[in-house]
Amino acid sequence: MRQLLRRSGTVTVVDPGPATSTGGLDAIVDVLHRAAAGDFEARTAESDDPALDEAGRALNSLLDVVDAFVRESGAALAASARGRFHRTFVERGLPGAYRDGARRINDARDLLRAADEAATEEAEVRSVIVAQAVEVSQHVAAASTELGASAQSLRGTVSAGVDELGTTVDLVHRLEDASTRIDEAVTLILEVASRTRLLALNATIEAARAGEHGKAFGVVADEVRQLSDRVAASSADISAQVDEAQAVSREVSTSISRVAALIAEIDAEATGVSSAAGHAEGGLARMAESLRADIGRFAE
Amino acid sequence: MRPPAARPTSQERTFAREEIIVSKTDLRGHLTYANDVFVRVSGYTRRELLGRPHSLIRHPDMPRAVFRTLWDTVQSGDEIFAYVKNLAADGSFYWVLAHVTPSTDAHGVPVGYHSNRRLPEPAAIRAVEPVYALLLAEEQRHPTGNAAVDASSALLRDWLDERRTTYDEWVWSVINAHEGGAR
Repeated sequence: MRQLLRRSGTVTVVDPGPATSTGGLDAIVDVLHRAAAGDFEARTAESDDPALDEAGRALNSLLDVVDAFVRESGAALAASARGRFHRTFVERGLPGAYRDGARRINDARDLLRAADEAATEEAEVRSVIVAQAVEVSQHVAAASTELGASAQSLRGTVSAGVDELGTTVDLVHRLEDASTRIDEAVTLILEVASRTRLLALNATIEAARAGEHGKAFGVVADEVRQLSDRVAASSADISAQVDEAQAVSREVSTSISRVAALIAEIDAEATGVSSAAGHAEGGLARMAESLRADIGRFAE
Repeated sequence: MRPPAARPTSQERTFAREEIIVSKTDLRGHLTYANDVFVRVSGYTRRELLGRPHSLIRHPDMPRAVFRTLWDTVQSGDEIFAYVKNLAADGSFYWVLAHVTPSTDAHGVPVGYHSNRRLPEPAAIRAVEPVYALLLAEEQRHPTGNAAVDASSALLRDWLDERRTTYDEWVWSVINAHEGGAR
């Protein structure tokens, strides 16, 4: 690059000789040959012959303008190629076709500059987008990691809930067993009450048959009958309440089963979220991290 | 025959917009070629010019720091543009926009320097004159030539640094702002 820079604006001489040749037509021919070979250092000297002098001057003018054009065009294009767009081709002093050529080089330079500006602008936009994408992917990776951790923690909570439900189901079963035993006891009490009532009735009849002597016993027997009636009524109440308690227990049992099914669904969802969000293969956190790394490499 | 040093006057010379003043020098800066426009505008004969150092036409209003920048640049192989006030044989002056480039042989070895000079716009001259005056004033405060050009070169560097620019960018900012006809 430095080598190229050093060459900007220089003109290479093929066969360096004296800048000016002295003499007549031979000298002019010599300069023409050197110029044709790309040696723009060659010029003719003044001549005593007016015609040769005029020819020499015209040749020098031609070489001057070609020399200027070659130096300027090389340097202007090299400058544009290196992004030194402020260096234009100075058109002034160049006639006709040379000026047109200079103008075309300046037009090319304008196009190069516009392309360079567009490329610079695109690069700036790209770097902004890349920075944003890196930031977003960092956030996504962090949020996914957090989400995975939350889902994992949710699974733990759900598992504890399932355990607690198991304990509750046991308690309900024990309650059902207790109700059944109460029902059995009430049945026994009702049977005892019924037989006691029958005994009391028989005793009342026997007391009436005993006359005056059985009167007091008759009062006791009647009292026993009334007691057995009250026991029977109370037992029926208990029985009805036990039936109700058993019905409620069955409902609770059914309800707990439904809750258990719902919790199992939550557990399955949490497992899904945990593996989708986390660092496992195909997990969102891992994909976001890999995306961030890729974008980072692209931005370098 | 060496011509006597000219005494500067306030007389200005000029040349046509379509013309270029062309000269070539050897590596020491001694003229090896001067075109007809150079001969006419400088007021010297071709015989007086050839073999003489290019500084023959150096005007005392020009700060040496500019020429040091010019030589440093072309000696490192780069081209340079510079606004230069020149001194003609009769003491009159003429401003040019000089483009100086090195010439090398087929092996890339420098063999001399080439200068194309165009007619500058008055507005461009007005833009560079205050800067040159600043550098010249600095040079005049020093007794020896070397100390003077060291000081003014440092001043030029500082002046450019302050504006966060380089000599190349500065001179092109003047050319692009004022030499509308250059395009």
